[in-house]
This record gives sequence, C-alpha cells and structure tokens, in this order.
Amino acid sequence: MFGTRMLRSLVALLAAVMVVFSYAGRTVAQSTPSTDSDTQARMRILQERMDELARELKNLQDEQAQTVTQVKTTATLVSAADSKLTTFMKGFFGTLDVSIDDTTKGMQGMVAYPYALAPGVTSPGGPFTVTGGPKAPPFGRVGWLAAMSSNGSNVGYRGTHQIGSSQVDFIYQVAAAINMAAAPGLQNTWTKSSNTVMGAIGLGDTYLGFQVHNWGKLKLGEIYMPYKTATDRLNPFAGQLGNYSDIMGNTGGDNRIEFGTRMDHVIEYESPTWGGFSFDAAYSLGQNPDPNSNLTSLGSVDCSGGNNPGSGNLALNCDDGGFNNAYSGDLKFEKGGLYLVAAYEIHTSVNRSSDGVGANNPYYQYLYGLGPNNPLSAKLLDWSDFLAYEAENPGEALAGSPEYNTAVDVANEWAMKFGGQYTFDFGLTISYMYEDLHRDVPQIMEFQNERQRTGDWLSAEYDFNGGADRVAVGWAHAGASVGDPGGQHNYNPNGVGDNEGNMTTIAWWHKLDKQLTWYLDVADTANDGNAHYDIGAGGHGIKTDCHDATHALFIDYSSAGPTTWGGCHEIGASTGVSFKF
Amino acid sequence: MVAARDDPIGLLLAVALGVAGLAVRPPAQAQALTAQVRDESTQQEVIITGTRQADAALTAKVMTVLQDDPYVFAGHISVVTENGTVTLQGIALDPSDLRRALMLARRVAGRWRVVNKIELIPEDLDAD
Repeated sequence: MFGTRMLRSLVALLAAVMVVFSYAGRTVAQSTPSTDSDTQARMRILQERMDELARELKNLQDEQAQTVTQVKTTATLVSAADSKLTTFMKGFFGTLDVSIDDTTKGMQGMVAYPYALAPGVTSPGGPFTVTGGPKAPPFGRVGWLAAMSSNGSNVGYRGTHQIGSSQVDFIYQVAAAINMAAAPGLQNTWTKSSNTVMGAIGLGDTYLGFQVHNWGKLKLGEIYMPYKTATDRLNPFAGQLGNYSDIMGNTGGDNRIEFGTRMDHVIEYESPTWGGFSFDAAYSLGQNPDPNSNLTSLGSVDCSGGNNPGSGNLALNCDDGGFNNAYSGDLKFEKGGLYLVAAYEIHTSVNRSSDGVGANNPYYQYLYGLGPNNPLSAKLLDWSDFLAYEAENPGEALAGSPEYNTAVDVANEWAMKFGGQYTFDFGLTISYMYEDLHRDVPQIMEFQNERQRTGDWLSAEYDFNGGADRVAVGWAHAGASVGDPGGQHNYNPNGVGDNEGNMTTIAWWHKLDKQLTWYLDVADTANDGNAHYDIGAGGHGIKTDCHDATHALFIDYSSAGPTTWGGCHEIGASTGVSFKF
Repeated sequence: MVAARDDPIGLLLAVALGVAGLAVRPPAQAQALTAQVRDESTQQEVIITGTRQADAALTAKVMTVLQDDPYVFAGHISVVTENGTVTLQGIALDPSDLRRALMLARRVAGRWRVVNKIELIPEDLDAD
C-alpha cells in the first residue's frame, strides 16, 4: 500500500513538473529558439519515465489485486475447513457421571427354612410345611455399604452423509460405554453374568443406515428396541438408583431388564411424523442355530437377552432366558405438551429350562420324586439331559432338581404397555405407564411362571428456578406373578402370589450450567416375601439387589448356599455429578 | 390498389401475413388470462419467498432462544421450519433437556406448531 501511494505521488509530481515545463518551454521557445530541441528531448525523456512509472504502478496494482484474491481464497478455505471441523466435532456426544452411594440390601436378620409338602398332601400345589431348622443366614456385608458408581457414562459419535446430490442420507452412530470408577472388563460378577466389555466401542447404540426426507430412517446394528425408547422420556431417574427399569419391563426381578434392553442384529424403521403421529418397528434377527435357543446367537458374545451362557444353572447353556427372534414396535402421538404412547415386544422361543435346577420350590421335588417312569415326569422333565449332566457333575447336580423338557419350557414371552405424559407450561410434568408382561407356557408349567404380571409407573417432575433446578418423585408397582420357580434361598411355597414390589424414588437435580449437573437421589424398594426387585438395575453402575455375598459357583446347581433373598428391602442414597457434551 | 391488383402474389403475401398476425396475436381475453396467471405466479413467488423468509426468521428465533437459555443443553439439536411448523431434531442426553427444548420452541413458534424428532439418549447405555 505504501509503495503504491508513493508511486501515485511521484506520478502526480511528474505530471505537475511536465505541465510546468510545458508552459515554461513554450515561453522559452518564443524567446530562445535554440533551446527548443533540448526542451523537447527532456519532455520526451520525462514522458518515457512517466510511462515506465505508470507501467510499474499497473504491475503493482495487479500484484496487489492478486494478493487480495489469494488472501480471500485462503480465508474461504480456512473458513470451510473450520466449518468442517466444527461439524466433525459436533458429532461427538456423551455423558460422564460418577456418584457416591450409600445403600443397604435390607436383608439382615432374615431367616430361611426348608419346605416340603405337608403330610398326606398329594397335590403339588401344597400346602407345605417347614421340615427342618433354619438354613444359612445372609452372608457378607448386606447392610449399609458406601460405594463409588459410574452411571451410564458413555461417549459416542454420530453423523450424516448425503449420498451424492440425492435426497438420501447415509447415517451412522458408534457408541461406547465408559467405566469412570473402575477398570473396564467383562461383567462377570456374582450379581451379573455377561461377556460384554464395559468401555469397549460398540456397547451402546451402534448402527448404520439411511434416511430420506419425509420417508423416515432405516437403521441396522445393535440398537435399543422401540419398546424401551418409546417410554424413555417417562423415566426421569435414568441411570440413577430407583429408575423405573428396576420394575418396569423387568420380569422376575434382579438386575436384568428383559423388556427394555438393547439387542444385537437389529433392523429398525423409524417413521416420519404425520399430524403428531409416528411409529417405530424393529426386528432382531435371532440367528440362533439351536432350535431351543440354548446357544448364543451367531456373532454375539452373550445369550439373547443379556446374560452369558451358564448364567442359569446349567453350564454353557442359554437356558436362563435366551431367545431367538424378537419383534418390537411402538405408536406415538405428540402435540403441544401431550405425549401418548403404546408399545409391544415379543421374544420367541425363550428358554428357561434352568429354572427348576437349584430351585427351592418343592413342586420340583415332587416331580423329581415321581421318578423318570412317571408319566407326568416323562412329560415335563428332560431326564436324559439331566442324568447326563448329573453323571458329569455329580457334586453340583445332586441337590438340584432336573432340567425341564424344552418342549414345554421354551415359550414366547411378550409385553405391552400404554403410557402418557403431560407437561404444563409452569414446569410440571406428570407421567404414567401401565404394563402387561406375559410368558406363554402350558398350564402345567404355570406354577413356575414368574414372568407374567402387570406393572405401573407414576412420576411427577417439576422444573423451577428458570430451569436450574428440577425435583421428581416416582412410584413403581410390580403386580403378583402367576407362579415362581423359587430360586430364592428363603422361598416360601405357601406364599404364591406374595411377590409384589413397590419402589419409591425422589431426586433433586441442580444444573450448574448447560452441561454440568449435580444431583441427589434417594430410592426405596419394598418387596413382598418372595419378591426380589432392586434399586440398581437399568443403568446405575452399582447394583443394590437382593443377593448376599455368597460365591456364584457355590449357589448354582445346589441351592445349599444362600444368594437371593426374597422380601429384601433396599434403600439407597446417591449424590454425584453428570457432565454432558 | 391497382398495383396490388397487378401483383397477386404480393396481395396473397399481405393477406397471409395479416392472417398470421391475427393468429399469432393473442385475443384480448387470452392476454388478460396470461396477465392474470403471471400475476398469480408472481404473487405465489412473493408468498413463497415471504414464507421462506418467515420460516428462516422463526428458525433463527428458536435457535437463539435455545442457545440463550442458560440451562438447556441443545448442542446436538437442530431446528428446521417449514410453512411455520418448527421441527426439532438431533439428540438430547436428558429427558429434562428434551422437555425444556420443546417448551422453549413452543413459546416461540406456538403451542401446536412444534414437531419433536429429537432422539433421547438417556443415561442408561448399559442398562442390561
């Protein structure tokens, strides 16, 4: 810029000099003709000099224009790269959540007794009488215990890629669960048996697929089923002690949520919204080579439904709820502050043939006592399998009852639920959900059907202080099940139907800013005598359940040692921070 | 006239040109119709342009409200407006963020003019 200005000034100066010289030259020419040719020569030189300077000026201007263009191009490129980087970075999402808990299993002082059919009673339905002194009491630290818990911490990446100039986008998401409080690894503990690795990429909704504007999305991968996602928003305590998954969708209690789980090999369609209505439909390919779903699905590390082979009472079998195909769908309506939802899911050929082995239900003893030649036993019991297993593992199988014949203990299980939520403008949100869970077994097996019951969930949330604070209270109820295999150490066979559960949760969240939240959560689950629902299932890292500290290998196959205690009364408080990005 | 009579080809050409001219020239009614269509088309263009501008303004308004709110985390939520209907899409990592984002959008766009396409990813990725 400075050089250009200088040149311009110089040119102007030369022009002025030329004018002066021209005028002076004319005057001089009139008076002295001898100097005329000199003047003309000087003017010619000056003219040439001016032309040269003008050329230099033009070159400089061209160079300057070129530089400006280059700077603009570079700025555009940098801006484009910056925008791409921003878009790329925006694809990352996740949650980091750690809490300090203090919980009790509420089973101290519990007593268990052995039962048998009362003298003279021939019906397997009882009544039953106590046949001996108290069995072993709860083992280990089952009272108040402090713990640090990583709750639903995860990181994921998702993106959209337009296919050429079409209206079709390629979509993808990769997620990974993170353990913030302990080293990652397999989840094989005495309260959970799973080969999935916490912290590995893929433990989280992971899929690829396509979306078309106004036509919806198609996803393929490992995905939470619509039955779960449709009512996620009704669960304010997700990841906390006492979230609704401790009871809702949780057949049989304990830590596994049968209807509310992520599945492998899923094809899912998500519709667009028409006038407030939308639906989702998903199919999980069973890809199980075993006709009784007794193996893991091809490509999966766990049995369908979440547990690893052997989590039941027979080693290497998926007989603790392994299934084949699964279908799941929902129908949703949302308008204003109103949200209504209905959902359905079915698991086909669910194998629960390990229920009888190691159980404390005298019904099994009755059937076992009838012997292999009894027509009823022949119909129900898979004697060849059991005897082979007994021969191989005599110590483990002696005290147990035989495996059931898969012809009658492999059945479909399904669930449906209806729910609604309304958000008032002043910040209050009310949610309610009713659920009906079923296992389609023959009548003769209903005595051990703990998978069939109803459930209710009611919650109220209130946002206040401009969105900085939120309080919520929730109540879940598990209805009585049709039967009970009696896996509890203190199972009381006279208490069929005495297995309802009630859970109450209260929590307060305080947002420090958009992304960081502090919370305090208190939960209480009161179980009937034979029920064993907990307060830790469904995303909270540390499970506070109805299991004492008896070693897993000791409890399976024998029932000699304590483990699950019906009627436990868990209470817990948890406070922590959650950061979202 | 005499010349014309003596020049039948020229006369024919003149007649032909006249007929062609009449044929090519639209009647008054057709002209009016064309003008009307043009007007309507222009009006539609104006309406479409106006709607687009209003949609863009509404999108910006909703985005601003979401960004300015000190507590709702809407970093993964995008807004699209079509004919005054606002659609929120993307992900929310908490039910309260989902609810608050919808509530704020409704305040700006109107209670019945907000469509929720936000995917909720709650804190229970390892729920099973």
